Amino acid sequence: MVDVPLSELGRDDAFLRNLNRELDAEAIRLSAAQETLDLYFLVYLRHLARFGFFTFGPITIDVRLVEDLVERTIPRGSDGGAPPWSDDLVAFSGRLVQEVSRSGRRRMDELHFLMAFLNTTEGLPGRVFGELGVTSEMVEAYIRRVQSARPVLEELYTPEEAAAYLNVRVQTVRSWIRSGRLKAKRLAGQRSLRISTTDLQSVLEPIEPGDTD
Amino acid sequence: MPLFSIERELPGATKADLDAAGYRAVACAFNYAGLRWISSYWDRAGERVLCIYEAESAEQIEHHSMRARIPCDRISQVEHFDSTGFTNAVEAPPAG
Repeated sequence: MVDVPLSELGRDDAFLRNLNRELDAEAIRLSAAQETLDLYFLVYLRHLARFGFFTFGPITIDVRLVEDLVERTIPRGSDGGAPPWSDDLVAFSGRLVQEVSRSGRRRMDELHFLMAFLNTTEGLPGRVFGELGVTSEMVEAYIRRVQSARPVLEELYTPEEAAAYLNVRVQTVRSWIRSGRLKAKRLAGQRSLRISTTDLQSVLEPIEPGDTD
Repeated sequence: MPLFSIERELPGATKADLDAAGYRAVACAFNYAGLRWISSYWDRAGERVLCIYEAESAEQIEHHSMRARIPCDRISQVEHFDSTGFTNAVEAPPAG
């Protein structure tokens, strides 16, 4: 099982931050008594939709239809603030972290959500994907096809992830970058640093047999 | 920002349950100014989790826990300290 550093989640992740802020904003707008699985599904689809449609491989969803269903069915009656999570959304949080563990990708992303929604039989996600006849296996097959048609992109690490990978302190990684011992690049127009797997491994030197001190 | 310890009784919880609760804690934290999850410790035998948060108040922590559907049994305002500055003063035990 991959150990996801959950206390770090969301600190630098615009997707999670925006998605959950949109969930709260939508719950407040609708005066919802609870933040539900259906509402999370709507916010997710809307977040990734282009021209009103969510499309990914075998999936095409008209987001307005989901909006109408949520607006008509969501339980109302809030005190004005963001309400608590419902039972079905609590259950979904379990599926979501399982999906992260299963995937082997440490950072929670849009695809983890999609697979978790596909693997639920409850609420609107269960109904929509049931009516579309789309399963998680079909989406996984689509992803494999797309990945095999593309060159493999090298994985990139932040200084914090690079430090965890090498089991050293992040200050050490930053000092190696400053001194030129470790190559790093900046995201265009930003301060954020990224280090490739190849460059990370370049700081590892082979040892002579018997030299384990 | 004040620091708080939070005891959460979680009888029968698994690592997967804690991961899910951790995700909910993160997902529900974005709209609380000043609320920050510092760290957590799982007392597996005692079936509880001890969390350290920065927050404006105990009420803010209580509200966040209620929204995230995470138990919140005891909240105490605490102060951080560690062994920095003491380590050199502690003599090593005699050899043998």
